[in-house]
Amino acid sequence: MSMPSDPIDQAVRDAAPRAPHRFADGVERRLAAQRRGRGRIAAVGALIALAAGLVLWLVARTPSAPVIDSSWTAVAARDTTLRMTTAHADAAPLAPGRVLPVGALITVARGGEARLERTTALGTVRARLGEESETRVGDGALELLSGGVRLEGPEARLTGDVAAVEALGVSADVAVELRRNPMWNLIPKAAALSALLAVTVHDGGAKVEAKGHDPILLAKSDRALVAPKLPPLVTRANAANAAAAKKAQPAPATAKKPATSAGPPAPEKAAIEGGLDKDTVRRVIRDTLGDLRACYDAALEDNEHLAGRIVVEMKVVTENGKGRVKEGEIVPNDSGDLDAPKMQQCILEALSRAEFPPSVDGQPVIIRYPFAFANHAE
Amino acid sequence: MAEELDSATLDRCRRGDAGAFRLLVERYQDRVFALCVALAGSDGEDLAQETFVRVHGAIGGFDPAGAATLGGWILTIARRLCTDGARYRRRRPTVALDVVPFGDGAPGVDAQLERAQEARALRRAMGGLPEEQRAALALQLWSDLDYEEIAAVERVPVGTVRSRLARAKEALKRALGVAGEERKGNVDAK
Repeated sequence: MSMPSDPIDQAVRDAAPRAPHRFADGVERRLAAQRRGRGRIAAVGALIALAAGLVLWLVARTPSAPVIDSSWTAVAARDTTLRMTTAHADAAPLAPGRVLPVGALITVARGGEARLERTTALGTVRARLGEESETRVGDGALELLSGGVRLEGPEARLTGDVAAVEALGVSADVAVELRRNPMWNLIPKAAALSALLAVTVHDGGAKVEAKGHDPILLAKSDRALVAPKLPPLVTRANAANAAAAKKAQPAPATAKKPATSAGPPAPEKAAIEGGLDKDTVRRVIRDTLGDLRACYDAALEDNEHLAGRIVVEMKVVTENGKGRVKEGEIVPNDSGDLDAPKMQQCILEALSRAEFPPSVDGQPVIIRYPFAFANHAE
Repeated sequence: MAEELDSATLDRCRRGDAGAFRLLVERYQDRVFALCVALAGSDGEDLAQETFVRVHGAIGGFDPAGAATLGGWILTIARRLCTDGARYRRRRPTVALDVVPFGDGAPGVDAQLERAQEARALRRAMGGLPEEQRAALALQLWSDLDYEEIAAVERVPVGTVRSRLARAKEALKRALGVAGEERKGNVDAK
């Protein structure tokens, strides 16, 4: 190996590798391939964007749930608004002649009213939605969310979270009123539990189906109160008539109390059908008198003249070794002054908390028990 | 010092002129190729071409008024690429440095063969040096960078460049001396 003056430097310089021929062509081919690759990426990106746009367009075009007309038609309306669905924010006045879609929400303002009709095989069914009511339209049944509705005609049906009500008979005229404690409206479950459904049969009959209870058949002038978690409370008209027949009887000798009293009056004695003895029933009932008195005191705040007698008919069912009130009926007194729904609900609530011993034969026991309420402050 | 690309052609390159960029490649291809071969052996050509692809993408950002010359800037890109490539090559078989093509200087066949033999022996000796010494040597003697430019490419002080070059050349002298003696011995035996 020859070594110049700076021999190693020169030797290294002489050994310098040189780029092969057409090296620059290779670079240009790479650049061209890179451009093609970028073009492909751009094309794929454009395709993806196009596909995404197409999907979004299709999603946007997906029609909302189709509007299905119900069999209900509005025949008259005053101070009433209609929303197509509960989720729909836009509300419009309900126009007479309007065929109502399923799911529509009808709100009746104070002083307003809406009359609806539908034709069935048995005739024309009418529903009058009272003031300050909210009703959702179903295909056949109406769903009462709050307020009052009057059902007229056969097969008129009303549903709700408390109970379903069906009018029976061609001449049926049934008033249904659902009241909720507004204090609990912010808590849906509590709002549902604070509801009280009152059904009054003005003509014909009605079937009331409360959740967890056997259906109740009501005749003309009967009334039922249904509250969640409580046994339905039925007021029979025939008992009221029977009570009216005893109108001439003297007032019961109630225990003297400082203000008010509630207790078993003399005129109608307790009657028991089944495996519980009178002393046991009396003892359990007496344990509830404090609560009953509280119900009465609360009712007096609305009506200070409220007084009279009622007879409660209870069905006590033995479950898990204990007797519980599963059904209750109130036979109103002759004056009707105790026709106070809140108080009746309160009484039923108090009685439903009562704990009876098991019946001797394990069978249900029917107890008919009279109570007298008097305001001694008057 | 190797001649740099003129500013007019550089401007055309920065504006995306393909013809001007080809001139740039042709101007720097030997320097880049030599560095890449020194660092990556038979992968040198691939890395050298990839260097120019990177240069093409980044030339718009090169500042002619900056501290680095265009050659230094391009060789820095090549150096980084070869370092990254070396990391990649560690995971796959490498090819010896002496299989790379070489120059076509001498007119006579015998002289050409002799020079080729010498060059192959020197490259083989370079292949035995540590990477940083090979890089310093290639940047100085094949890419014509001065100490400061090498220091900038290698991101080390100039003193470090000097010592690396000195150690590299000393090692080459030893290697080539031994190789020369071996070759001479072989000839005598024939």
